[in-house]
Amino acid sequence: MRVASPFIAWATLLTVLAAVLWVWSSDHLPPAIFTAAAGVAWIVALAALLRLYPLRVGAGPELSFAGVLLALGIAMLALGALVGEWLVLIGAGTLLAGLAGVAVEVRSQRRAR
Amino acid sequence: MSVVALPRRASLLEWIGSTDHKRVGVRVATYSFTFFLAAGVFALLMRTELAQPGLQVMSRDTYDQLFTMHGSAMIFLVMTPLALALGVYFVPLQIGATQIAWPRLALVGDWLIPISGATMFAGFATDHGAAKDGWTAFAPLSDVNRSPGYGMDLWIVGAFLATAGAIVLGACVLASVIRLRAPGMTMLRLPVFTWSMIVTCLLVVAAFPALLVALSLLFVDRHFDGAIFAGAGGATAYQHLFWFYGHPVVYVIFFPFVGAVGEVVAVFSRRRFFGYHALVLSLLVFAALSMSVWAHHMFATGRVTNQYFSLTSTLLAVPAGVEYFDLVGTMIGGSILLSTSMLFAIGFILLFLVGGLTGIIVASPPLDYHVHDTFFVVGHFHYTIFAGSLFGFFAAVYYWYPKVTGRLLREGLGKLHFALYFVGANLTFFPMFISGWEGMPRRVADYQNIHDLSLLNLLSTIGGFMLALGTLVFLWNLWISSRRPLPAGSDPWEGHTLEWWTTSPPPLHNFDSLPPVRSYSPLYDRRLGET
Repeated sequence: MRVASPFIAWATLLTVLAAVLWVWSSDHLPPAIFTAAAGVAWIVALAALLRLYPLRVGAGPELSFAGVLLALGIAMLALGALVGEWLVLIGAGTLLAGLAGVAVEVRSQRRAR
Repeated sequence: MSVVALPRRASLLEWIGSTDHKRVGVRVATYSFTFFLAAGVFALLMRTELAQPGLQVMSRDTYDQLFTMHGSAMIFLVMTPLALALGVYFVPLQIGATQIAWPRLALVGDWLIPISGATMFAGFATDHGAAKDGWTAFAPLSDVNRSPGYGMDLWIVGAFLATAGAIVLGACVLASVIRLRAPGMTMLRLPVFTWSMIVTCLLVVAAFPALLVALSLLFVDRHFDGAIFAGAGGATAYQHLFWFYGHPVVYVIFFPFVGAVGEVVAVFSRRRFFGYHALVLSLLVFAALSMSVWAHHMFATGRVTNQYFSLTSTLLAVPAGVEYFDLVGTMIGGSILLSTSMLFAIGFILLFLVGGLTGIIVASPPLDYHVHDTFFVVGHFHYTIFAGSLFGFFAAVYYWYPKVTGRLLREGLGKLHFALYFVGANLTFFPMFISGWEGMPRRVADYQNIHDLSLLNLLSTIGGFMLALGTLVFLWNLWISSRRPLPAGSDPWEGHTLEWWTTSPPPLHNFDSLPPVRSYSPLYDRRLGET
């Protein structure tokens, strides 16, 4: 079995089920949601088929504080929508710091190789 | 006393920032289990209130907050992260990979989950208290007029972050399977647990974004006068978006434990897993069908295509039956060892069957109209999620704990834990079928003593405290194991899959060498070749 086969089969199943719902349902929203999900399934299947995952074995970092900063930045941005603009700004800054940190980590990894 | 040589303890910085998938998995499992304890305390408080008719322990408002936060914590912060944590830890090991795909992204997903929990729980400290409209946050109950205060908003942000974290973790596990398999590890040689994680992660990436959309729109509704769900059909639209996530999530917290139980049953039956190809096919069909049944939660709205959703819901019995047939078939003719792990696996098989069969009842619209929003539904989903999936989780814990820590848990304490859980789960949740059928509504702090509801609720409360006692026994087992460790060795159970090839706990790079992979149970093949 090729790696993409189960993903293509699954996406096809979703598409068929969504198509049946389009025929059966008088409301457009349920089949539209289902079709969108089938679309996501097709994206996964195509990515598996075309091997669109740029991975290198042994390339992973052992520690990444930039990753933690990214998580904190995302959380602060989300909470900032509730708490106020000041937290959005701090969150955006943290997110940028995290992204910069990831860039530095990736560059040093490449140099190490 | 036995002494175990363990690797040096991680520093705080390593604990926070490690991208090693094993540390990520343990981190997620640790704080998920902490949220489980909090949600369990909420459940005990609710059961204490319901033990007798009348209000004795808390106000209705407090009760509303507790059932909302209990359900929310169990779904968003406990069972979903625990299911994914198992995948993050064991899928790379089972496929012979040295790491997880996109380790930094996995770290991001990892930390989003405890932050989301802290955000949700912060609602208790606000003026109006935590969210109190159920874990579903149905519109218009969740709008700013009916659910005023920051507690509801914190719930929305918390649920959003937890769901985003789960999507990220699911994507990393899925990418690992696609790109990081060891040589010889073809798709039809993947272990049963890994296959269960593939379909789990497919559901996560395809279904969970619908909740992100629903929560974003709900937030806009509350804060920017969006009037999105306020108009005609708005409530139904929210329910469609919510249940498109809300039903598949049940399978996200079911499939990984089916996979784990499959591994446990095969290993402790001393047999190769029976019906592997049928299982793979049934998992794919099961996962696809489980995406198509969401509106069976909405039969009572009268605004969905009942025939379609009833048909697809009933069809779920077919792949479920195949999986049960495979699990039982693996045991038939095997040399069964009733270890704690195997007992929990058998408990999972039995109790999830009750949850599944009562699911057929609520998949039928006429019967669903009768039991909708009653304790019957509460009993049904607790048989699937607690009595089912959590038993599967503990089967996995007793099975894989030696691999993660290098130590064995005490079997005697484990069997006591199982006995308390098995009796406690049935005593807690079975009376709910009767009380629900008799008409006791869910989400109420008080009830009238008709149809023996008082007795049925008292039984459920006693069962709830038995479950709490079982949890204490498990915690004691963990404590004893850490204070007086029993060495496990690399393969204490004679496992079938690659994680048992490496040391316990595994090194940073997972493997020093790999055996040839010629089937879905390479170590079983090797042992068979040796004998």
